[in-house]
Amino acid sequence: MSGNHESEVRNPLILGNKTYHQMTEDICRPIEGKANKYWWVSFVIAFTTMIWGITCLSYTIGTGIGSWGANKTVGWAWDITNFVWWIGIGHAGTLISAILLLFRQRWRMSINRSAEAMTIFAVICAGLFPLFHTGRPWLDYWMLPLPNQFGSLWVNFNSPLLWDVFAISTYFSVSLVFWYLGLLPDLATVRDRCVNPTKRFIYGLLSFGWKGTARDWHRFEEVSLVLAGLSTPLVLSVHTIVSFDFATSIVPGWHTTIFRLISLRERFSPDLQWY
Amino acid sequence: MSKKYWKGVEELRNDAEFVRLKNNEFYENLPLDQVIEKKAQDVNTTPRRDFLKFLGFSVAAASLAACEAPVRKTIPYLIRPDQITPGIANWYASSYFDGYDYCSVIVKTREGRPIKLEGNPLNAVTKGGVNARVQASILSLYDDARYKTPISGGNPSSWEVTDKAIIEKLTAIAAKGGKIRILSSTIISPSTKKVIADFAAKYPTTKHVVYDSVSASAMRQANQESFGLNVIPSYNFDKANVIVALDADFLVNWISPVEHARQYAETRKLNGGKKSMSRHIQVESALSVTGSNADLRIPVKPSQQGAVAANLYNAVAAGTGASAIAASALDAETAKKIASVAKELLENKGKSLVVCGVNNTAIQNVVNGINSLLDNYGTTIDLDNANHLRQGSDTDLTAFLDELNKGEVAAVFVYNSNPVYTLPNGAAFAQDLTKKVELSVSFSDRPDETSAVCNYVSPDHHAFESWSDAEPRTGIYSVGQPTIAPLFSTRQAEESLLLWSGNPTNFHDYMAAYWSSAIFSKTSGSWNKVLQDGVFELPAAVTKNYKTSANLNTAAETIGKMSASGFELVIYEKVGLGNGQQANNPWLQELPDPISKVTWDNYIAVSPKDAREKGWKQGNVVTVKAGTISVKAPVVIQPGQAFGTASLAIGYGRTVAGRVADNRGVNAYPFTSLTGGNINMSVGGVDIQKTADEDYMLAATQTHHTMMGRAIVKETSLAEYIKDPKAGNEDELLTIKVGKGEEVKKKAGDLNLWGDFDNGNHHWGMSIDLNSCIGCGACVVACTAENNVSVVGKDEVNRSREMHWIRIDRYYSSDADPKEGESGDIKKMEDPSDMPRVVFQPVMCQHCAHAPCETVCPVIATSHSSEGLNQMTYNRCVGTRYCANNCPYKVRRFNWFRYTDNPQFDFNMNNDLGKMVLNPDVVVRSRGVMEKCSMCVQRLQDGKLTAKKEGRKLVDGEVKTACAQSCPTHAITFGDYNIPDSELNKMWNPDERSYHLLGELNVQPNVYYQTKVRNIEEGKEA
Repeated sequence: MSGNHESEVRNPLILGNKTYHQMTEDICRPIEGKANKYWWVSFVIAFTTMIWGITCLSYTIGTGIGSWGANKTVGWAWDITNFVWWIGIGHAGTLISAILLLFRQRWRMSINRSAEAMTIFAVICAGLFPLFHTGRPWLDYWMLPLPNQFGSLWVNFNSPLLWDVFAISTYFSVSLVFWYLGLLPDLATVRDRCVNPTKRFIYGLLSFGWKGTARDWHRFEEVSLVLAGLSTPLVLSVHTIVSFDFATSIVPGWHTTIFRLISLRERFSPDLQWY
Repeated sequence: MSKKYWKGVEELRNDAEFVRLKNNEFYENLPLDQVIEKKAQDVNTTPRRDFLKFLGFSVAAASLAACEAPVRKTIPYLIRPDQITPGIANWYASSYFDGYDYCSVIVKTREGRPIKLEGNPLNAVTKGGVNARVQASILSLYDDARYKTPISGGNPSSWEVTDKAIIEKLTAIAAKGGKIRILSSTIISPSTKKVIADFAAKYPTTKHVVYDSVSASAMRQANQESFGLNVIPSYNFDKANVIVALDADFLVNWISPVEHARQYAETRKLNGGKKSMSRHIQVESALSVTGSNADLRIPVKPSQQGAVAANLYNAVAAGTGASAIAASALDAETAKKIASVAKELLENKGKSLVVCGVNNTAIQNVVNGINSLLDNYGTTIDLDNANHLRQGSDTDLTAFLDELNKGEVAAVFVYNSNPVYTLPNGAAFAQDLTKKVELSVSFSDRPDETSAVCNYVSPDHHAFESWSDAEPRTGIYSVGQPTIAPLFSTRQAEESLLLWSGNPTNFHDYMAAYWSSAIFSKTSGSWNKVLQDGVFELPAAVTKNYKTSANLNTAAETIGKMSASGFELVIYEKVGLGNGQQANNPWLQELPDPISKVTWDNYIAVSPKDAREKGWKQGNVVTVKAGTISVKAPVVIQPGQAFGTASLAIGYGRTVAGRVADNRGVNAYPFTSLTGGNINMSVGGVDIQKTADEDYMLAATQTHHTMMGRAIVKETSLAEYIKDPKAGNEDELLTIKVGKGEEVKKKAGDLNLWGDFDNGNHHWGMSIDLNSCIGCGACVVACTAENNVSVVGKDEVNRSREMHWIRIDRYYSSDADPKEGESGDIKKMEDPSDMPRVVFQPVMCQHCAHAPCETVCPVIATSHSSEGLNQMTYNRCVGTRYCANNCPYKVRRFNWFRYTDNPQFDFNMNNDLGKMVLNPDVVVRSRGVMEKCSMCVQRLQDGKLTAKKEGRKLVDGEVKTACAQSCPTHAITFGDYNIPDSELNKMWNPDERSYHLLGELNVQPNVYYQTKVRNIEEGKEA
């Protein structure tokens, strides 16, 4: 979006007098080239951790949630802690991306993709905990208001946990769309540079026929603004709803309106979470 | 240049044959085709049939392989037995007595399986009460540790072989005049006594030695000396205005606890405007359940018990003009209290009762003296209708052990007792039994320490597989009938004895014949009617007043010589395991001790003061040494324990009992001693030393001790209650702002966010009278039995994952130190004082009308019924546990693991035998779902259906929850708010004692409590 024109009163955002072509080359290198050593090291670590995570979750599903050490007065422990923690992480990403967009901070362009990706994956991580912490995770879909043949069974719209389901899934879908929308021009660039027809076909599908015309860019910007406008209040509401899990209960220490504020504070400084 | 790899030369050469084969998936043709083709040439078979066979086989194999669930066979009745309708329970009157606990019961059987016990209300002794141990005995029936065949020389054998060998040996012993001894615990069955007499007639060298693991022999001796009657009297606690108990845990353990608890509770009830109640003073060393219910508790060391009795005698004698006896001085505080107790006793002459549980003839004689002076015989004490539940004679036991040690005894039959475990010196007994006796036979129905060292085991039936009769009190009979065919190749001990004495009859016929000749000859009766009712009564004898004729000065002299130095160890019985007979019963092991709340273990209880001084902490492992006996056990700091004493429970430390009980806790019996002619349950000069061992993990279900200033249990004194019936039950008022600066105070119940439910037909509810609850735990076991509650084991209890649907909370209360209140030190509030008062509170699901659990469940697995119940739909539960988090009473229980068929939880639900006890009306919950008290909805449904079939409405009291049914003191009243004159509605009086637990939350529970009232004057006594 930024032109060649640079403001004269501040330093340029991109140093080294790079041309658009050079920038495109730089950006596409990680995708088009071969993975380097560091990538492989990180991948192996991440993959091992994932396998370990899958093993642990399989054990949990196989033996029972009792293996997580909670008890009858502390019904939730690490599961809810991790859930709230990851939600906080997720919010930081959207905050950076959406609010900075609304405030027209162009420097966000250097970090918005990773911030948004962080949101997506943090929300996935957050969602995993409530899903697997249930006694019978294979029945988790009962928490969705799906038409069913169990009789007239429906979900309980009074339950903050159900609000959670809606809040998180809404937040996840908006963040996903926001993130994916930002990807479109770049996916098109990759598509245009592809020599391999299969790759070109796949990237062609992924880039939704992006042509880079002024109309494309216009709509892109409009939708980005709309989504940023949507996700900013979502950030506020989602964490509020997460805090409702505690605040609406009648357990002493939990039954307090301060939870909403604590949650908000967390959003701005997720590193300070769990007071 | 890359290399070429090939699998075989054929591949390298690309042979035509190779190429052809390569294109086929299988190298050769499928053999199946060959078989079919070959058979097809055979004229006698047809390919179609073979095809069908193969098809059938493969479908069966595939479906078998696909079946994950194990195949469970249910076999329908080909010919339905008379009286059994599948789905309908049959109830049989029966009796339970194991030498320790007695209850007349009604056994519920389903499809031929006994699954639940309820008290028989017709019985004059137990009157419908059942205690925790008897309640749990139904599970002992299905204990897979039981003997399955007779045992001969340690190996399974057959009845023919065993009988032949035993008869041969008996005949040989009788021929040469060798002594035959039958060693048993108390036998209250007249027919069994006749069987033993018959046996003795056949083998004249036979003598029957009776001893009790927890002996009351001194009482019988003292009554012999005092009144010439070798009996234990029946007590009428209900006729007593003042009750003084000297080390007698009469509500849960001592002699006839079910009977005493009911009588006691009658004197404590304040229903219907009653303004008086009995006063209960307990003098004891360890904090017992009875002591924790007392109005005044005087802690003394065991060595002081005699001095207390003597001083009390003197104080009473001074009031009646009798002469004093020698008595050593007590410390000033105790002396003052004893003097005031004596005053109260004298004010209630003839309406007071002094009971003593010390197994010491001298002390018992002095206590008899006190009761004589107070004219209590004939009113509160009934010597003419004696209690038969403890008949053991320590003198006989001493003589027998002596004979045995000298090698004079040729044959020993052990019936219903486990001397190797329960005798003070069981190891020596085991040695003598194995080395000096020719024939030793145990009748034990399951392995125990004694049967393990006997030559033969002739396993008895369990109580509910046998015929029995019982005479717990003179003239009051109950009978027991089998409720299931014997599970194993066992035989009733009476039948064995009859057979060996040459009378191969069955015991039922024998008993019926005995009854018609010995009992129906006194008063006419019908055997069938007796079987149906389970009870039979002869007219009671008129009770007379007795005066002691014992020489109290001799007794006082003996008492004067009693002394002990240093720490004293008290050996006591726990509510769960009692004397340890049913130690292999997981329900009892998991039943929390009413006072310490510890499960699965016994421990050394010491007072907080001693612990502070010696630097002991909860869970520290100490060595307890008395003489040559030494054990290692963990410390529990027990408020209320007398200073300078420690206590240790019997019943634990079994070595041959089964996988549940073996090596759990330590055996305390070796600390008892058979000195001075009686079994002594305390020992002085005990050395307790902290060891370097790691702290021991004790699994307690309640680890906090006080109410931290909240009004959970509301409590008041009788004096206050008489002044204002609402004393102690002040409402929590909420401040509401109306308009500017204006405030009004309102009751939480007056503010409603939601509308009320319409409970048109029934509106179930429950009242719990804290004044009647003694904390005995019978309801907990009854609930476990009724609702298939899982046992989870020590580790899981330690993780606060016990599954009991009803729990009994215990709180300590003491006058708060105002200074501590000012400093606002919350943590200090949790420390009970050294001698606190104790309150019990049963808590189950409160079935709130505005239930916090219901609003938070995302899938509506818990909902409100039209009858006021908060109900749980297990099928729908996904296990978010939000409901449990939001429950203010913390009564919801989660299935953290699968508790059935899981070797990790190897209790009764891990084997087919143990699972026979399960109630088919209640689903066994699967892993991952929440469960909780359902107010026995299956019973309600059953009652409603019965009423519907008979075309009428349910009558009040017709259905009861398991807890309400089993409560020996009737502290729990279950009923219907929609019946205007129901017991429940009569009890509900918020202007007096009724209150809702945590009423300020306004969750509108359907369960309410009644304030506890103590017969004290606040501030008058410390």
